Amino acid sequence: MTLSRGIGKFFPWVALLLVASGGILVSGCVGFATQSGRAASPVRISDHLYEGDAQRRASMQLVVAGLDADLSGDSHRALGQYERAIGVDPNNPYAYLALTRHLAERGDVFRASSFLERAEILFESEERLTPGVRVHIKGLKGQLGGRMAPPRADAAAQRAEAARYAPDIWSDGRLSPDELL
Amino acid sequence: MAPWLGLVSLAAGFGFALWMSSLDRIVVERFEGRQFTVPSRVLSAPTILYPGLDWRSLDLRDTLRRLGYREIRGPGGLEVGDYRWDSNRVEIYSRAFEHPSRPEPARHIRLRLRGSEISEIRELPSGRELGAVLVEPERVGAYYGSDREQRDLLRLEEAPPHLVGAILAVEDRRFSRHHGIDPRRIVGAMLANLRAGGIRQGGSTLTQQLVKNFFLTPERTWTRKLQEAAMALLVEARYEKSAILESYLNEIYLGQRGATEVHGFGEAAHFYFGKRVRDLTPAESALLAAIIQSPNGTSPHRHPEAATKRRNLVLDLMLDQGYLDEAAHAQARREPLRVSEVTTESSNARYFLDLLRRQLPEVYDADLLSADGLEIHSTLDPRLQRAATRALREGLEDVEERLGLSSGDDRGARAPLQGCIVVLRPQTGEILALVGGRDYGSSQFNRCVDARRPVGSVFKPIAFAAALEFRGGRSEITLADFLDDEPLEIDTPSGTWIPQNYDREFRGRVPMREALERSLNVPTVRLGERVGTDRIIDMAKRLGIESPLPRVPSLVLGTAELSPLEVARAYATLANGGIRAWPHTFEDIVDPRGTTLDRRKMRFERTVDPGTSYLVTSLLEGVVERGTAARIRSMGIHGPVAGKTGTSDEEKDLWFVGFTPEMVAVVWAGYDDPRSVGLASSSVALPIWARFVRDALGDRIRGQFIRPPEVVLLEIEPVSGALALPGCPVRRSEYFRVGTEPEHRCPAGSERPADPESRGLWRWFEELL
Repeated sequence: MTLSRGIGKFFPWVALLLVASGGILVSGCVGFATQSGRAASPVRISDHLYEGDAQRRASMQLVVAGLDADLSGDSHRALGQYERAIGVDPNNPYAYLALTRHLAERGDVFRASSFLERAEILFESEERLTPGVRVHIKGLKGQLGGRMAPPRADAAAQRAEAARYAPDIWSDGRLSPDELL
Repeated sequence: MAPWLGLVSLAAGFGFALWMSSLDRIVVERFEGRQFTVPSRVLSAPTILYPGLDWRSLDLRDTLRRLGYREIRGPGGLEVGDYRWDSNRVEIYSRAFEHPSRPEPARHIRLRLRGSEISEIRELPSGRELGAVLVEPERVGAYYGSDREQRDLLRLEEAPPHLVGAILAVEDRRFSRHHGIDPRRIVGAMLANLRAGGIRQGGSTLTQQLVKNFFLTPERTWTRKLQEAAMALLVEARYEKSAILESYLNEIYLGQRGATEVHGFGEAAHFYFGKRVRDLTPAESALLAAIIQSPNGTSPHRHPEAATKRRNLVLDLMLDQGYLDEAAHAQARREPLRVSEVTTESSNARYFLDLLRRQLPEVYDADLLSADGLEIHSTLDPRLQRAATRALREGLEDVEERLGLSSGDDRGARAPLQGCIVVLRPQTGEILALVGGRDYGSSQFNRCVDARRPVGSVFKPIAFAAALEFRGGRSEITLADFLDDEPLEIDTPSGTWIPQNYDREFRGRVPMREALERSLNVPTVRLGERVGTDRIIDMAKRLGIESPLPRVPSLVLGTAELSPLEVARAYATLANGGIRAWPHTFEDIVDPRGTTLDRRKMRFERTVDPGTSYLVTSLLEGVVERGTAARIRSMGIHGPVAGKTGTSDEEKDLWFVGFTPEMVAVVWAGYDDPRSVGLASSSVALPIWARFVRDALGDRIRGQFIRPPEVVLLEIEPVSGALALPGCPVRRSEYFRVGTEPEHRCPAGSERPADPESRGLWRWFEELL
């Protein structure tokens, strides 16, 4: 009787803990799946256009304009748009990611690496370093590392890992503007 | 007689031929050499409008006015370069931004305003919502030659037919038929002048007017008139009518913008209507043609009625001579006179322009810059530049008032109190604003760039950075450590040095944070001794200091003499997480044909690890929260701000360096001939900085300083510096690089980690169970 009364007293909390544990377990499994398998959906700029404050949203529009310009082969205009995007929001990680992609395509390894480092730190600080972001960071590191002189030892492995996570995008070892848009 | 006459005739003919030949040489040299000198212009960074932007702090209306946009009141369509401002919406027909790599089209847009915010931007007539719109850059200055002529070169095919028609109708209706001089026009003018009893009408053709402007002085003498006629004949004999007309379009004087002369129709279209020539309406073309005769006497700005009357006369002539049909003529006559406001070039960016000139590659010398008509796209943010200029001027005036000095003077023959502000974007190195002194007119010495002054305590964070840096798997100190604030004597080659605190007090053992927050000298010297001067100098160099640094113990107290720009560069590296960006003033240089000649590349290098940068930034945030810069908060500035005050010996140099996640600004104040100001930096340089930031960014700073993953926030017991675990009675939060967490625990023997970021959840479970 005493025992059951005791259990009765704690029952709502125990139930709550059980539900919470179950939830954690499920989300953990999902998280694991996205970390290790192909469930990671690579990040796209257009999915994040309306996030953040006014400056961020304006900056994102300029990033999109840059990717559009890259798509149409207007590299100079694209670069200008990315720089403007950073001017409007100097801490927009997507702008640095898009700029890294742009510079990596043009072989500007040194500057691209600086921007990629910046993008990674910013994504992390905004708690946006999701598997979908990591796959591009990894792929770009691999792409840039392969072009360094001498090439970085882990570059091929990074490219391969990106290709394993996102074969549709990274199997050719590069990220095209439409794949990021 | 006849032989003499023959000889005289021969001599006269020979003399005439010689004279004509010399004139011909002058004509050819001018026409086939560089016809025009076009000063190179410096443009600001473009303004970007977007929903959510505070249009008041942007000063949008003034920006449009400065750009030469014409305000249209009442209903009716807008043309390129017009805007209409209603209570809660603004319609703008923006101009195209012509740039070889970053062009923007002209756009008709409508902004909806809610309070001080732009709530929506739509493109007209489609109604499409826009996320960001660019308004073209402002002209911030030009590199003039001695003549101070400004022109925007124009090709004949760019001029609309109604402009050419208007000019020919009123100035030279027989231009296509005469050979440089027009006898019928001369006779007509003479008769008109006789009737009027004075000179009322000129008989000059366009060619003569061009010759007069190109080669001759404005005096009215027979010899000059003769020379003019001869040269006009030579020009016509040598060159096509189209070439003559094009030269005329670019040469003729059409008004005055402050101290600068407006020459040619390209520049005049911009000056009077805020437009390019190809966008002029027939009525506007007629107005420009109307003012050729007397640009100042019929100035539409000063004499709108006289200008309208003469414009209508030109329109009538255009109708008579077939340049306009009836309908166009009637419509043009109905058009009200609408001109842009006169905006003179501001002098507040002159120090910036001087620095930009120095940063240009060597090929761009003064001659080339004053003649080649280049467009230099700079990094200057006009809004920040205005805010910086205002803050410095008003701040120094306030100080003078407190000191009982009259403004800009100290009641003596000595130079007045001076100051400077430089503003950088740490992520890119763009110099956004620079004011090198309180008045360029009276002193062109750029204190932000060329002055080397003792930096005082502004140097201290560099010593802390060197101490906190992770080297060989360890840091010299952590933020849980303590420094001794007790009397200290150091032997130096020049004798014993006894450093003192500002208040000459000693506090015993002080935490690292407190040492910097209260800018204590003695503990900082002890820190410097521990780290070593070489490592501190190495850190300074990596942060961006390039001036020579003395290898003395007092280096940590700021005995080094640095320029404000250098200081800004060093703090920008900290603000940018340890990545050094090279400061620059321009983006690219474009020639008049639209070709990019030079494009600067953003230059970066990681010189300090992100953990060290963040730890120092966190210390500098403390300076603003609790330390010597706490006045910033009481001045109403909220959000992430880090900063450091600095005062050199005898209060000769007063510094404040402050940064937000998006901007670094350095303020220096003092006298050019170093002497005591009599106040500390916190009551001179700091208020100027705060005034600038409040004006430029508002009172709420955006963003956050980015903590890298290798830095964790833990709780420590403040007296011992031990890791505070549950049960520890007193605690405060502190940042540590992973691997440098305190080894001691409070209470001793506890096991559970106390990361404050996970404590909330843990406490919830504790309370729950």
